Amino acid sequence: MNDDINSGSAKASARRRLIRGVFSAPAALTLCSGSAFAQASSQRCIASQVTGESPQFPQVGPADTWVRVSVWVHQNGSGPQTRLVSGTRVAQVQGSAGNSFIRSGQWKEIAKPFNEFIPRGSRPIETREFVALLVDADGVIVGISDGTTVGGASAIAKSCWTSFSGVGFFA
Amino acid sequence: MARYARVAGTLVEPVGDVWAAFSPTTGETVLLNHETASILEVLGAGADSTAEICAVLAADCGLDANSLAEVVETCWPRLLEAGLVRERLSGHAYV
Repeated sequence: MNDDINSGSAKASARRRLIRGVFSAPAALTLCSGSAFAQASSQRCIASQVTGESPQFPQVGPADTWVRVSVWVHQNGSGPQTRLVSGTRVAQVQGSAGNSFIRSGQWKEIAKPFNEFIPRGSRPIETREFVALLVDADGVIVGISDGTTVGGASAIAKSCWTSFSGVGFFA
Repeated sequence: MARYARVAGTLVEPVGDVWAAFSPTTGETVLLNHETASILEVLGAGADSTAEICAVLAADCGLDANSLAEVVETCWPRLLEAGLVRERLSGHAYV
């Protein structure tokens, strides 16, 4: 009986699997990190989409990164909806680091120049849509992908979210 | 003479006919053949030089230790790069 496999207490031994009379060249192949690959892929996708289709958006640099956050909407009576990002949620992502772009408890409109928004009458409602925060190489939030693209479903095409592995609030 | 040690916390597990080794240093997983996994195994048992490792593995394989030296010597750069092995300074204890 092979106790490498069948004994719960025995440790598997590579030495015992060596073939007598043969010692091949050692090989070590690094596996690509799936999440890193997905992150790179999705970020290229998002950078291409936002930069290409949103001329108002800040230039995206190679060291920049993206963090997705959910979209909130505020309905003021029968007027148009305002699409927002929650500073409280951003603070949850950033932890104690904080940022000067948006404070906990603050709301920002998802449209340049990303004005502060003070809800009146009713509290904003969280949606199942996302936007992406652009974070520069110094960790400073420099903008929100504006919500004007791709059929209104999301600022980012759904195909881009598929492999997006940045910090988010929904799986 | 260079001496080596297995990086503390390295995990090596069999996966079918190869071995998966996780390095806590790089956070990456590396696939190893039996020969490379054997080198790590012998390192973990206390051998720390090419000569000592070759002596143990030669006994396992029924080969001459000198014939393994060149093969084993060439694997150190890759194992160091993969974060599975670190070079041990002479006269210093393992950390």
